[in-house]
Amino acid sequence: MTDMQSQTAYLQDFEKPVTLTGLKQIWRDRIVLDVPALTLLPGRRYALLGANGSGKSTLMKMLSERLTANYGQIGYLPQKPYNFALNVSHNISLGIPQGLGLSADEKNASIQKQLDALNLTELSACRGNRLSGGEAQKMALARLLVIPRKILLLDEPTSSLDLNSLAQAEAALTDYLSQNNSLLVLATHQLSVARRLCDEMIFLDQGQILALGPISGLMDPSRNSRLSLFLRYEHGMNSIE
Amino acid sequence: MTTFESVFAAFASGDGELYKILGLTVCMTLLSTGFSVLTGFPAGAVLASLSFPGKKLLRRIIQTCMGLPPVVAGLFVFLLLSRRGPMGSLQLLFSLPAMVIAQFILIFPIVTSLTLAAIESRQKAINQTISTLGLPRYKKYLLLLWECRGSLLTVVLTGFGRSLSEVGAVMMVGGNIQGKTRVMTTAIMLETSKGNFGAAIALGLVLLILAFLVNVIANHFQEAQND
Amino acid sequence: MKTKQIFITRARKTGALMVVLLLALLPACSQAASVSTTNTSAAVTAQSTTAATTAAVTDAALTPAETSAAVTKPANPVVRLSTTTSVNDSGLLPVLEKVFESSTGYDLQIIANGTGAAIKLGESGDADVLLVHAKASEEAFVDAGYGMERIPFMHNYFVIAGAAADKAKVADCKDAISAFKAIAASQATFISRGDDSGTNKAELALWKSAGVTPSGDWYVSAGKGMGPCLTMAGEMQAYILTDKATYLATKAQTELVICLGESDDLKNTYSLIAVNPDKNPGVNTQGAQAWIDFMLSDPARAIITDFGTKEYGEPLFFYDGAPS
Repeated sequence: MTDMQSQTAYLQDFEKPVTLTGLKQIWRDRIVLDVPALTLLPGRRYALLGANGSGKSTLMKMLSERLTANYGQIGYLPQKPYNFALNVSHNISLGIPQGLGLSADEKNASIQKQLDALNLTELSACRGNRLSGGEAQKMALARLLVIPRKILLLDEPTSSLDLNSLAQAEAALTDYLSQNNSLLVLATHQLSVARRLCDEMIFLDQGQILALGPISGLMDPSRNSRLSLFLRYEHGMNSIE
Repeated sequence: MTTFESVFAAFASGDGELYKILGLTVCMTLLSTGFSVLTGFPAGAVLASLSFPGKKLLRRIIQTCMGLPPVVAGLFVFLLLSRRGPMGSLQLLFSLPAMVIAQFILIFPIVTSLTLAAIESRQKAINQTISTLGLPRYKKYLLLLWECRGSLLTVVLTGFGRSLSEVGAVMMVGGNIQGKTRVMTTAIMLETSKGNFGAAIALGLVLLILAFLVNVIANHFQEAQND
Repeated sequence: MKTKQIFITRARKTGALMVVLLLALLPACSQAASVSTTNTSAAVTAQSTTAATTAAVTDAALTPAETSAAVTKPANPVVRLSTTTSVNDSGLLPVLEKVFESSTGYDLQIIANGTGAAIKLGESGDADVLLVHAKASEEAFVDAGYGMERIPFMHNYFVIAGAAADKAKVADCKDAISAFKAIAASQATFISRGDDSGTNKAELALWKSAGVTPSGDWYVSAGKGMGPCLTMAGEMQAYILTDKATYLATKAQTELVICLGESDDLKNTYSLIAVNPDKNPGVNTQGAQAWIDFMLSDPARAIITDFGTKEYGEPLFFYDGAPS
């Protein structure tokens, strides 16, 4: 692993906070996203919360485009990742970019590590497009975690996972984040996952950021009213848990 | 080979002339389809992935070329390779390479256009997943082509069928020379002009059987993939 | 909501437009079809490669009475003439057709093929009258009862054309048989029709007389019509047996020269044969006879003997008229 870590110097460093401005998108007279500015700090873990249609995926997509332009290769997991008709190991290997100077053994080792961590070892020879929804999601996650990156953008990475798989995924992710100190933006509507993994939260409602701050702010009685509405309807939280 | 029966007798006995015609047909078809696929697949993949000014216009042009009249392509190649033409010194007129060139001009736009259509449907989803991961360009194109391999097989078959059935351009630039450029379609034309309609029909049937066999083999591969 | 309504209307408009276009095309197509049949002769004449010859000859052939007379249309106006590609490629037929159609009111439809298919069309009743030049096949056709009688009415000569360089020294030969021997001996490239046509049969007969079985890379069996074969000979700078008419018509483009001209063993006779209604009841016997009568008449003689003189300085065909 140390060999790999020394290679991360090649992946552009993300040391200073970055502010992205003008994150706007309009689709047929409807404002999908309207975020004038957003600042992200390295090493922090942000939970992007919001109802369906609030603009989460649009924001994630835009972040991936802007951050790739600034920092080279980042890890972006779209909401519906594509599963290639190759075996699972090969699918995961797509996450390893060229030019890292890794030997075949090192590559195989990191692929194997992810297979084990996410309990996909038995499926390693199966075709990627023949997996169940949950297995495919784990594979997509493994593809991102196979090499250390400084930025991870995950759009609903755990929506199809059962409790067992969810625990594995969270463990793998936590491991990765602590080892690499990467920035994480996790778009999810699973509040429990957000609370376990993230320390900051961004609440998006109808394309606009209505709340931004530490994750403890979700419990704050003085939180944004729309946020309260969201929490109540999405998670049946009538009062502060 | 003047009657219906004599054609099949020639087929069974391994008659030199008929097998020469068949051999030339297969050669020409494989070469022209092969070249078209080798250039058309990457062209279609690149066109599907890149966006540049004038992309729409280029697409329209290629799609129009799909319907290029074969005699026009034949005439163009003929004038190009004619003794008085710009490439006359190569003495390629009335040869197999000339036929392959004319067919390539006809089939390349078809393959490119259909590949473009096949890939476009999946291109967005695939790109979203791997665009940030740092894969080299050529690998991305290979992945695109691999993922669409089902449709692409149909594209190959389309190109192949087009090549097999071409007669006008092939007659013009090939010359229907016995033993050198006589292929199944031009042989059928010859027998028809001689009045040997029975033989012409028999040759036509052989051609159909050939096309059918190719389709059977291709479908076998497709089914194997789907398992 | 709003966008949906607009979309539906737009789709309906496009659909309506397409339907209107299709409906407009239908009458236009049928119009074009009827126009084309009445204008066949004019169109074909305009496209003829010997347009200049045509104009001059037609004026000479028409008498004042014929031009102004209104001709009554016969009961079955369509006459199908089956002929060979070499006759067609010479450009003679459209000239005759125009005069025939205006003086008789018939609509002549010319179908050109290789000799074999041309005769087959007579056997199947897909033609009413033949104009071919393959004596043996013609006699077999009549003997089998498919044709009424064989009327040889004009002739011309085959020539051996080739590159100006004349590698095999054909120009020094005194007749076709020795020329063919010379070509075989020097293995100079020779283009054969290879399609059982009248020209092809004549060529094969000459090889036989010369005692040569032509084979090898130098002997190219092309399987095409006379015009395309001449083009190929021009491209490959090869020898070829051709009728003079087609040779002259393509001379400028092929750049071939006549190495051996009129020789007795190169005579090529053209015949008219009316298809026998006994074997094929549906044929237009009156029309066929009208065409044959026309071809044996003075106006036709004038056209044929004149054809090519203005353009090439010599006639392409020699008119014999009805056999005595």
